Amino acid sequence: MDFTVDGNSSLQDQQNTLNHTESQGSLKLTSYSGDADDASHTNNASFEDRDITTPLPPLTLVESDDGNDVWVSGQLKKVAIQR
Amino acid sequence: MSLSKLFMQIVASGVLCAIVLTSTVVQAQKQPPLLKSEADAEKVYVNDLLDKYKTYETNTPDQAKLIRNKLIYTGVEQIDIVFNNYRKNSRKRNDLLQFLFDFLEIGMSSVAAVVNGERAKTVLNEVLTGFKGTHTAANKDFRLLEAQILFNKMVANRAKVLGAIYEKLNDDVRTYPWEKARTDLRNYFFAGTMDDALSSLNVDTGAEANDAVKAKDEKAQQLRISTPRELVQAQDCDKDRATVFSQARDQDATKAAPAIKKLKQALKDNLDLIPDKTAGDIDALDVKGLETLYKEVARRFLNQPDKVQRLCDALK
Repeated sequence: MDFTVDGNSSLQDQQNTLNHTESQGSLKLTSYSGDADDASHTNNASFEDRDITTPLPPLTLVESDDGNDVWVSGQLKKVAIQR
Repeated sequence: MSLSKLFMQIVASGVLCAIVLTSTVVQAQKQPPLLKSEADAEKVYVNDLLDKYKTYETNTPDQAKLIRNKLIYTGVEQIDIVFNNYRKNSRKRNDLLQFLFDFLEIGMSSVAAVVNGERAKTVLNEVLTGFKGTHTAANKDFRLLEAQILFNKMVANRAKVLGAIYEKLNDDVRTYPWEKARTDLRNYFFAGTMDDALSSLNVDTGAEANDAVKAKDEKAQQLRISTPRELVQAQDCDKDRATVFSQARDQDATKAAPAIKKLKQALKDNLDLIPDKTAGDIDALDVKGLETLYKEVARRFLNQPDKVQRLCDALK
């Protein structure tokens, strides 16, 4: 299942949104990427179905030092925003 | 005359006769045409069958069924001949069309302005505009490929309608009377027209376009930015739901049953979230079906978490 997230919002807001989607929809994030070339952009999030009896640990979005990449920590794969 | 000359003449005559006979036979096989006199004969034959059908319909339905099927076969045969003539771009058989329109009573309800002998021509002009192939500007501009696509559509539509007709041949005349069969034959006839092919192609491509747009929308669903409070509520709900489903999957029925009951009751108390389901539908679900439904509801309201909060509270 593919979704888009407002890439202009704060990293914390994006993190809350992804965690909320995982929790409410019994989903698991598998990739997260975006293109920040434009002043206004969206990030792309892909989720897959997960077992309803196994809630996932919270994921964390971490922006790298140069500000170009965003990583998802925890047990999840992470991701690069391609600029 | 020498013997050899006589022999040569006999051989030449034999070859000539063979050519003439062969060409006649081939021509007869090429076309199964009904000449005008044959169309008249067919009309007599059909009228005779119709009279018999009326006679048998009430008291001897088995006989009537036989007659009805003969009428259907005759109708299919005539329509196929017309279609094949059309396929070969032949417009020479207007007498056959006239017969067919009479037989199937085409145009009787829709063409009030038609006058007597002009009926077939008028029906062609007004109802089957595409059938003539030259009536509309669009038809004039068809390229070979486009025409082939339409023609393929016609063939597919005809096969579909004919299949439906043949499925009813075993029905008795009460459930499938000749009048209904005649309507189906009309549909079979119209399925071979350009207009029908165009309109069904339009429906198909429209549906495909809608599906494509829907898939695109689903693929691009925008997630609304969630607040910290909404996140906490969703995580709590996730844990409560996981606990109840774990119990519902327990091998011990005495443990599983109350959990399943709880899951079902929570849904039944929130039927406004699932307007396409009834309490009976929910009672009929097993644990797997319940899991599917819970996920469906949660994902449907991904951007409106407040809507599912009552459902979450019921699982605490």
